[in-house]
Amino acid sequence: MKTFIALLTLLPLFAQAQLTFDALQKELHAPPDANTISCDFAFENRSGKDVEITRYEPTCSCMSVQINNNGKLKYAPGEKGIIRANFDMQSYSGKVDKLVNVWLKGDPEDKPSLNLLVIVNIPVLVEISPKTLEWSSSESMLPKTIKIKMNHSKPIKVTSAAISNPIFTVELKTINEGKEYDLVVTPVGKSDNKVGIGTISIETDCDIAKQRRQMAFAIVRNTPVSQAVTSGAQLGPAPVAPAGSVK
Amino acid sequence: MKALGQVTLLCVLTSVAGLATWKFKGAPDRTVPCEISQLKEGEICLSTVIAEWQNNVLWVDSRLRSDWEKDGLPGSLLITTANGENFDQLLEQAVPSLVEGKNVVVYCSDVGCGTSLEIAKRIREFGLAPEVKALHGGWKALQQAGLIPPKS
Repeated sequence: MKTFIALLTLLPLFAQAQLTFDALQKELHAPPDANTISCDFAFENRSGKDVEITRYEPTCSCMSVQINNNGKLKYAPGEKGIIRANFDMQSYSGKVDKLVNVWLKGDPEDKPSLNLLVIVNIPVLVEISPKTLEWSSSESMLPKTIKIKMNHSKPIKVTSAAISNPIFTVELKTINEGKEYDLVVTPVGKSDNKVGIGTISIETDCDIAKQRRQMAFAIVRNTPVSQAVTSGAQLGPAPVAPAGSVK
Repeated sequence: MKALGQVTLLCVLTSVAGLATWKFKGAPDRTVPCEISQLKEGEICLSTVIAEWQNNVLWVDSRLRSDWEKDGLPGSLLITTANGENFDQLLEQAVPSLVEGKNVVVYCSDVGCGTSLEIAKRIREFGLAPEVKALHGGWKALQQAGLIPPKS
């Protein structure tokens, strides 16, 4: 028994060694015209044993991950390295969080030792508010306004604004050319369906392609909001809902 | 030799105890754990969705299109930026469903993925649905809760 207990005291020697990072979370501010941005996480093996990285994965197909020294995975005590996360920002604006998961030898498949968080702030140059205008049949069909504000050092002009559904009209008003506009939306007809939906497309001359086109919605509920329909879709097997089309 | 015998005896006894526990208590719970206090902002546990929202849920899959087509939750819509998908186009197609008044729950692959939080945030910005949340544990939580039909 004494020998067994003595053996148990050796167990901590088998405990997993860790890498020490300069930070597990980093925040970056990207220029508005940047398509990619990189973030370095420096680490060091401060444990007394070799540490091996067995797997590293970003949680988004928009990211790629590299480890320095030609992808060196095994680090002896005292050795240092860098994990670089490269983020493709082409589809993103505003504040975006992305994770890189890192597995060390001995980690369970579903539990990486390390979660490196990259927070990227991408300036929103064309600000639309609100993004959805809504009316119910119990209220007057008065015009409502979407505010369009430009947050850029250069002027950005709205070149066109249109709505996909003829039960609405849109009128663009210039408040301050290149800086601020109002888009006035008015329901003028009735939809045959319970809900009339219009997609509003706003085109600008923004020199950054991904922010050039903006989208908003206008919705008329032909039943009062208090009687809004909630259909009883079941959790589990059910027919796949067909994609809706905006008329 | 005496020590070896003692170690062997202890191993046998603990194995028997483990098997007895399995027999009387049942198989271990393999559902994705979800502690409400540990949730990130914008996340929701599957147990909360089932208990509080019941059938008033529109499910959104934010994984790859190929994954959604293969084993997405039946009735779910695809809204994602994975693999270069056009978010605006997918959102526009989904609007008629989003405005039905149901709460929206977005899922990606599992606990570690972050796409569902981001897609939920972008959908929420349009104010189309009463609530828009990201499912903690993702598709894996749905599968382990038995909500994903087995492959035929």
